[in-house]
Amino acid sequence: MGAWAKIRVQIALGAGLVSMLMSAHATAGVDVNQVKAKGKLAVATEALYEPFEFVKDGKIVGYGRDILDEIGKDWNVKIEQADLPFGGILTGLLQKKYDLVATTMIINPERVTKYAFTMPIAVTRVAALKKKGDTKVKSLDDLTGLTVGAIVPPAGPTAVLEKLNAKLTEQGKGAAKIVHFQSDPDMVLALANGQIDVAIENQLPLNTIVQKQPTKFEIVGTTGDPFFIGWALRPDDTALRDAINAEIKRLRDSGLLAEFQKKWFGFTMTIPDSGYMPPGAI
Amino acid sequence: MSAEAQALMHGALFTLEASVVGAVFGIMIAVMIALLRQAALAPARWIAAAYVSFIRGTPLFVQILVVYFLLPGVGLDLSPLQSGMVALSLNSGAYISEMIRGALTAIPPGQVEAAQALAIPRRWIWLRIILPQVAVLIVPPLTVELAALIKGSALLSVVGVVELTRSAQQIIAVTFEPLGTWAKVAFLYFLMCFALGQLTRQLQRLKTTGLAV
Repeated sequence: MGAWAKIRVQIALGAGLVSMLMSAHATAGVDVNQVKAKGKLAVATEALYEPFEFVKDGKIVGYGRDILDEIGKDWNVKIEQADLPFGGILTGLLQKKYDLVATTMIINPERVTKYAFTMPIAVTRVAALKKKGDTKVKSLDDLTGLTVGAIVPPAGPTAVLEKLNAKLTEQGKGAAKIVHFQSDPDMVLALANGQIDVAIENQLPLNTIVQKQPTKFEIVGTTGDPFFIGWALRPDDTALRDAINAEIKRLRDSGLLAEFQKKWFGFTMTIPDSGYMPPGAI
Repeated sequence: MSAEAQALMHGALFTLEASVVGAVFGIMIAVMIALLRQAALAPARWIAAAYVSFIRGTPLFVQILVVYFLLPGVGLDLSPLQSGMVALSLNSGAYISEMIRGALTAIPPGQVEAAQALAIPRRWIWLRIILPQVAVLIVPPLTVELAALIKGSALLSVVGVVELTRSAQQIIAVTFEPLGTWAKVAFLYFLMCFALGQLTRQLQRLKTTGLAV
């Protein structure tokens, strides 16, 4: 067998595996009674995203964890939270490795048709970070000649950047290059090293970075409409999703959610409980 | 000890645990596969050969994902660490079995023929003549493979094992000071591989002085 034939066989094997992965879809939905009966809610998070979710003293903490803890208390279940890289986190959800992905995700039109999203836990915008005092980067309306960093697709802010850049390119003001990174720390390091000129991300973690290193970085500005951040469940688990929604709504109405926002973001936000879903949502 | 050092040590323990389990079961699988490849029954040889070429032909990264995401389909729902250990064992088992096969071909067939001529039983030929020599011949490549196993265990983070590399990522996500943390991580990996090298060197010295090879 020639080298190319071998490679072709391996690609076929790989494709077979992927289709097996895809076909092992969830069938019956999980509801809150099953979670309570098991005594635990299995959650996956990418814990590299202060102040939403990060690791401190060996534990996952942050805004998201505070909400999860309240849900756990009310349902009398243990929160079993694992730290997984974002790239495989939704595959693991479909493979029933856990029942909830509680990591910062934009509720966008592409995602809501494939996953059951909760109501928003936060509202934010896409913003850009640059080195303090860098005069090359003026605003997000002109990216001419700039090397722009963003998290690997399908990250929400990256999708927003791609739309913005397509529009700017038509006007002749597009970015010279878009470079993708696995996580914020990698991207911020590249920014500090001068490998990229500007980093595109959700404004809230960027605020934290600027607060921690005010002499090094500053926020350039924001782009696009405000967007909502929510958590994802399997498309069949709308019953469990609705139960989590009821919990988030309860926390919002009791003022506890605003307290958590004050604690982690330094200000409070208005969280809607209807009209936040793009059309066609599960 | 600072919180950072504690987190790194905790991660290093998971790395060590996964590597040791991967090495022990890997060697056991390797011996089984090597024996299967010598089996009289042709299908047994085919299965062993197919296994080895599958493992060699796919990245460890993919193997870890397959074990973690596909085994629940056949009713084996393993924890991230368990799936990681299974994947590392299966992976190193295939590679080590190839090393055993290589070592076996290095033993002159004349030795076996001579033993057969002396009517030494087949079991004794294996236990007293072939395997002791294989054990000596295999030490240098085995060291390389086990060091690769330790370093490869960094990939377990993809299924949520917070081993050394992932714990470093967690720290850097908060401190945004990557250089010092990665330097410590590199040193810890180096220490583990260096200790392994020392261990196998001692082992080899013991073996070669104990045997006239």
